[in-house]
Amino acid sequence: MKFLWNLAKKNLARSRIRTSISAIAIAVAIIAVVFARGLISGMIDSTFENHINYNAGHIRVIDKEYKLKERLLSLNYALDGFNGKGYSEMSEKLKLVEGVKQVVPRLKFGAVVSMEDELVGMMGWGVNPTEEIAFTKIDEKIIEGRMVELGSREIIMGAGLLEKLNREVGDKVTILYTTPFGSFKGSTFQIVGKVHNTIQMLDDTIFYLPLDQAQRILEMSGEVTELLLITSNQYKAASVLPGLNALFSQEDKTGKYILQVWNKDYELIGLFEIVTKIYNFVYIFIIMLACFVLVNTLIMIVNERTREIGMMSALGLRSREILYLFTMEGAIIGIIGSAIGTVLGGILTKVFSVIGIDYSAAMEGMSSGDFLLEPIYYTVFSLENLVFCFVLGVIVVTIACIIPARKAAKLEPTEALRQI
Amino acid sequence: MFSFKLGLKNLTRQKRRNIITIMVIAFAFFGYLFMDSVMGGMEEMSFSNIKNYDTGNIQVVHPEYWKDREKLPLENLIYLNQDLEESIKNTDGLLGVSPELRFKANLNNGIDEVAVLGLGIFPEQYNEVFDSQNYIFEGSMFAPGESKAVIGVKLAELMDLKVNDYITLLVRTKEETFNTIDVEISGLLNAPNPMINNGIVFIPLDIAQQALNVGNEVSLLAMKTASGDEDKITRALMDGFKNKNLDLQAYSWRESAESVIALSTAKKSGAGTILSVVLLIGMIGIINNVILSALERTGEIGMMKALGMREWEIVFVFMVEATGIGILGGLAGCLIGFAGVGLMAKYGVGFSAMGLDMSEFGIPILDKIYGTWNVPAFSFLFILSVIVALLSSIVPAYWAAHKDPVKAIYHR
Repeated sequence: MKFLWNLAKKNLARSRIRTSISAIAIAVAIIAVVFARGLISGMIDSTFENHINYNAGHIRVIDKEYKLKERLLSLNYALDGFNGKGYSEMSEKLKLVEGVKQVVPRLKFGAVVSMEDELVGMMGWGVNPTEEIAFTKIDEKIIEGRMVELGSREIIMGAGLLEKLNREVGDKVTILYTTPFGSFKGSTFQIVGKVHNTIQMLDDTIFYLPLDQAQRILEMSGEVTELLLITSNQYKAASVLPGLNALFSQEDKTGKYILQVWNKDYELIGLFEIVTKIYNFVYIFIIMLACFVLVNTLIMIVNERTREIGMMSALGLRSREILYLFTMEGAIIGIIGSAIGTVLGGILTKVFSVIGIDYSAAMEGMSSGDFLLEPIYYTVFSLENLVFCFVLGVIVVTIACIIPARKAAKLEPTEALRQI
Repeated sequence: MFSFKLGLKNLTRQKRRNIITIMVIAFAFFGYLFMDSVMGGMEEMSFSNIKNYDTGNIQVVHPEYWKDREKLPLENLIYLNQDLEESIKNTDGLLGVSPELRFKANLNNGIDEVAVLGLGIFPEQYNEVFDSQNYIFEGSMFAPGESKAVIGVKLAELMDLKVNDYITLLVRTKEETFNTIDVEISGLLNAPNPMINNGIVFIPLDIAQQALNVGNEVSLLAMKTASGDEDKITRALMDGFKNKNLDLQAYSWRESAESVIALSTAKKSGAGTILSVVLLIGMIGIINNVILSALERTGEIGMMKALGMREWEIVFVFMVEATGIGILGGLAGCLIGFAGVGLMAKYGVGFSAMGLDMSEFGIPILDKIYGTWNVPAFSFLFILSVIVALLSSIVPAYWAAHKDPVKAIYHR
């Protein structure tokens, strides 16, 4: 085996230019694949992150009816805890479930501000500031002023919304809203901060206020519209479900609550899974194209060495060993090409993971909010990606090499020797 | 001439190798053409969605209204009078004209309220321009003057509404006072357009005009033309308006579809990147091919040089061979591409088969997506393949031809 390995290495050095062209072909394909994968996972990661931060948490507890009426921001299907004892008792109990790290309460409601002759529609999020900072790091997105504090009549707004309302940090604003009992009311708040959100839709519509204030003005004390549960690992969120289900079946007699796992109960995620699958085919397609180039070279090598092969088999090398020899030659080219491709592709993704690719011009006017797409993507530089592409390259190339290698192995020694 | 013939003959010498290189190019092209076709299909679908369900082929509006059209103002409306009707009547090629009054409204079912787009229409004229009437899912369209409405199925589901239920639309009139429109639902629409299904309430135009206190005014006139005629008719309409001193402007659907067009440009740049990678690999394949041939024929090259053939002639021989591969590869690629796109255009791919309802995501695809024929892409790729083959062969051919004849023959 060692002998065959050395022979393969030596053979490759016989025509350096031929070897390097094939390696370059493989390398180009691998660079493309590394980069494309980095970009796609960048897109998916940022979308998933937004989905978790603004929609779903890792697991979301809501009222069954609320799921259907979410678009309406209906307040009639709020969470009032187990048997109406309030959400805080419920979140304490949820925190005790193994695997749940954090419970983030949110009270989402629709509101308007009257501007001269028109009404500006907005979405209010009653939040617990400490939980929200720990979860979405909203404090880092505040570009002016500070986060709201529990107990005080203050709000923070998206930069786009502030502009629409023609207000500055420090101004006061009167918000109009409808309580769950159907009465139309107004309250005045002081704007203490400005949030910049890269998602246009959120930037233009959202304001945050302390949860207790939201509950007070909406006459919903002890109620929230949703509880987001955060676990230590988003991909293992489903493993917490049994514990949660046990808690709910024990505490909640009415059965009106449902648990939504972030990557199962939303159609958006299914779409992304399909896209990822389609792209996997594209990657293999690109590598296969490069393999054709290599196969070509190998066929020539086999032709060139027909006499040599005849000689070797006459000297007692079995056909299986000849198969190994040529497959190994191809595999070495595959390894070299994949290695170069992985390194260069890695550098490329690293560079773009810092500077990012700006799609904002292309997405102008598009309702990016529906998709929670960011206008700027950063490729993800991950070892997993590099290893995956390297291994994929080597495997596909080695398999492709078997075809010309079999041809060499099948040669009859006498026939092969006779050929000039 | 001799070099040319030699090049052609060389093309048949290593059949297997050349066929593999041709296959590289062919598969690369097939991949690109197929992708291009699917994307074209998606684009086509969103365009026809805009034309058939939202704007019509041409919209006639007041220029000031056009600027603010997203806000749905009730100012700068069009007054339907004799002059306007005449100038429209005199325009050839219009297949239908539908006056529309668009307004903001809040739909109330007694429990919840949701913001919707209200659309006052004359059903008959609306049907001449738009396809929506084919998608009445339940019930029927209203007649002018009836206090009835047609809404999308998704909206009905959201608000728990059925045919014959009563709804209240809360609107603000031209004078900014609040008013309500009480209507009975006469039908439900399930059109292949998410906006219609989710957020539009159709009511008779006269009812809307009365409630909004706008007299005989409308927001816009949506018009249907044969596709491709938009620009010509837009110009004709504008001339007509100028003659009558009407301060109106005609816009083709393209101007309302800016965001969709921007999106498809973004997608195309993505496709361009993949195309360039694929072409690069094809290029390397051709370079490899030339180098392999040159290596094989080193002795031959030396012989030709010793016999007095000049370097550029040898380069030419290799270039002919490579270009031949480019042509064959391009042809083969176009042929399989033709087959693939043909199948795609005929049968399409169903998203519902994958268990997805695309309309959930605001993408106007309901059921199936079909490929489109992009004939320029075929010829463009073919020419590109020939040029790329020609160019990428020059350097390795020169490398081959540059060898010292003595050394080259001695090689054996």
